[in-house]
Amino acid sequence: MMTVTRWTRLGILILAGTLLGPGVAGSESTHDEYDVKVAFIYNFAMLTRWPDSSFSDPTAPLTLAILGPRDFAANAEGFFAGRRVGRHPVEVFRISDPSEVSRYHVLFVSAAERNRNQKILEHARGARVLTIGETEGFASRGGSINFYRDGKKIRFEVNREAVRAAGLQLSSRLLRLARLVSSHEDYGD
Amino acid sequence: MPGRIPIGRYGRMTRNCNRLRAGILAILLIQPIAPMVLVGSAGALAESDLGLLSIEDLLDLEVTSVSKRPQKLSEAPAAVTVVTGEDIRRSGVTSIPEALRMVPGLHVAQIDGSKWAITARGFNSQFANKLLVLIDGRSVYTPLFSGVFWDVQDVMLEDIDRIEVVRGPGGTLWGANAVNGVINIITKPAAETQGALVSVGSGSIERYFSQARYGGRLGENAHFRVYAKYFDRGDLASDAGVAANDNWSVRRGGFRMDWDAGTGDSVTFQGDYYGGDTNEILVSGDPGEQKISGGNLRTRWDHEFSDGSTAHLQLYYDRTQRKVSSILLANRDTVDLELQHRFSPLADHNVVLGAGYRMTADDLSSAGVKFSPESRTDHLVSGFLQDEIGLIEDWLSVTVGSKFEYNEYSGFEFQPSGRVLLTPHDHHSFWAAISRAVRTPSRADNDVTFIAPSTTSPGDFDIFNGNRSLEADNLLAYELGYRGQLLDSLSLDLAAYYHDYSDLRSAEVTVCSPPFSTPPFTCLVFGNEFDAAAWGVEAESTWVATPSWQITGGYTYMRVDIDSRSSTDPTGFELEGDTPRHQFHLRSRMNLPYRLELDTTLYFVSALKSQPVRSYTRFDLRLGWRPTDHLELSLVGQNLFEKSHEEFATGFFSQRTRIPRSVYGMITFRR
Repeated sequence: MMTVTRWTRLGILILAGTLLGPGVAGSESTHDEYDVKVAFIYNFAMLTRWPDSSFSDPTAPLTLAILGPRDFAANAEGFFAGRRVGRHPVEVFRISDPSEVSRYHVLFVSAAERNRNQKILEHARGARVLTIGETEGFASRGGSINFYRDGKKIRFEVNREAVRAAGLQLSSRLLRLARLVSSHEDYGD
Repeated sequence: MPGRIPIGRYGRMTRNCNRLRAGILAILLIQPIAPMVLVGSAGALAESDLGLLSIEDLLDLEVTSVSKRPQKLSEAPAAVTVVTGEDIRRSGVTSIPEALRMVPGLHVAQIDGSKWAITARGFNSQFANKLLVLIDGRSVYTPLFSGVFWDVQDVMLEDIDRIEVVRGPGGTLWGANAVNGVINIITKPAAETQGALVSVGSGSIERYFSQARYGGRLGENAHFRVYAKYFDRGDLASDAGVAANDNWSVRRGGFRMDWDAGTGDSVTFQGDYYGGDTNEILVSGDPGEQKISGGNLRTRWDHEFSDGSTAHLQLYYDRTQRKVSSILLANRDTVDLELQHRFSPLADHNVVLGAGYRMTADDLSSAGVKFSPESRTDHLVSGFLQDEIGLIEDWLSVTVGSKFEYNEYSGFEFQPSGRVLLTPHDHHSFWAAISRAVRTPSRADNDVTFIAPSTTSPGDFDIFNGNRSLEADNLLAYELGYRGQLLDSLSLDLAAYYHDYSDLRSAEVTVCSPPFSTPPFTCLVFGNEFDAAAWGVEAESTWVATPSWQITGGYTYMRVDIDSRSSTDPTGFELEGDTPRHQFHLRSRMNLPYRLELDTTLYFVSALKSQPVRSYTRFDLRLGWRPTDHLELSLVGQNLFEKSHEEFATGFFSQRTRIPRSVYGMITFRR
């Protein structure tokens, strides 16, 4: 694999930006969806209570696993560097094997994994892991939290049974803002 | 990946780099060998103020649309359009052919109540022979004439996850017949259609329809659904303005079961059965009828290996039966086995390897259209190999591959392609492709004999004869495309193509034995004497005007130029003129207060120069209301601008028919 230096990349990017005109390359008026989702995940983690036994000690790291694209993991890593959830520093992992998901505190499953959702959720079942998805039906199939879009804004739904089954507690503030769903609801017609 | 044969095959382009920052990060970071701590050294680059926002603040933020990101489809180096289940619901259409009208690059023309001429990139007819259509991985084009009987291609529309349409050659992956395009109709997994759904409706042409589906669980890891549907559609208008006697009805039922066995294995099992009756008026003026029935069973096993590579094995059986008045009786049984493996032998290489076997046996007996022999069993063996190579990460990838197949009509065929995808910016990608595709001769091309009224000299008759030494039609296609997110709310998809065809099927004058050797009879035998060029542009753009209002526009320009060489077939000109030069559509989807939905669609199709078909503008309107989560009411008007219009004048033994204005109402209950 040829790796482009970052300056070449930057150069080509600027060139492309020039060719395509203003308003195309740098549309910063809104936020990148994945940046915002990372911030949501941070908030979710702060509004969730894990059993004490989930952490080896009160300052042990909170682990976030990401099943999905590398850029998301990179964003998350950048975001969480230096941040804490309570007294826990956050460690971000990018994983690809669904059988490992039960080892983490928080799991984000990107839409790219939509075909494996069922399998992933099965591996998470019974584990103390807050599962977060972004695919229609993720929560109704047993995921804890699922992002969905309302026009340009991001919303989320919560499956309280799934949260309870994972042995976690969500703050009522989070629940108030969520659309509540139950398992196996028929979606998307 | 259950239920996902299609364009995913073009590749898993991990077009990362949603921003320069993330891109640089990705480079600075080591290749992720899972699991791996992404070391925080680059963290400072990604400093963001979003972390200071509360969850309430976050809910108020507007975000860049990345709706295309999860669809690897959109990163395929090919002209691809996806029609979602929601697009279908909001359009108010009641059949698969009608849903395809919203796809740029396709020409959808209704011939009469139950017949459509549908093609991509030209050469349209009731027997358009350059389009491959799959429903859940099951090929539904018929080797009888290498085309599609659209009247029996149906599913419960509510169960459609999406229809993926690839314009241009797909022969490298899908094999012969995917010359001008591939249509993949993909239904939802059973887990996504749980609960009960009942809907009934009635209207002017849709005289009555009803459908019901129930989905449930079978133990911990398996889901199922069963469905049944019925429709009774009334007469369209004849050319003279009276009822066309082309009413028809079809009943259909089926099931699907998905079992996730854990340990990387999942199994799907599904089947359908249908039967129906179709009326028509033959060119002779006599009423005709068709009896159609068929069924299929499919099973697919997906396995994911521990190294992340995947494989699937699919087996299906399909039976179709059709009786066309006294003209034709056609039964066909098909068994198809497919094996596919996707893996990464080296970093940056994504290889897909496939093998397939198909056996198809028919029984064609009739008075009007004669086949010799009446029964024939054919075997098709194929394999393909494709490698997608990431040359420069996130920037440039190349996909090369070829299909190899052996069929009993034209022997060995190979269909290679090369594709390049350039993604200079997260919001902009460019692709280019050169590919070869073939259409292998059909059963009719080989073995048919029939008499039909001449299209070129009225009052005379043409006697068509199959030709056993017919060769495949060839296509060499050059394509270019662009896909971009121009603004947060505006996306644009462009494709341009030049298709160079050679050895297309023609009908050459030959000598017959008496009494058919003299006028009014002309004896014709199929040959490969046409060459052709086709070129065009396909564009689609979606503008999300407000969160509750979305507008999609599409434009298609198509030209076909036939080079008749030394052919004695005078119909080359007709082939050119069966293609509308301009097509345009505009769809608006609006969510109103009180849970009302207002959806309108405008279609324009320019005239067919070789047919007495003028340009037409069709306007559809749908008003939907969901008073509760369980109830949906909708009122749909179609062709509202015109009393009636004609879309395609030449059907096989059937009369010219006009499509009238129509309305229907529907009530749907979900639980």
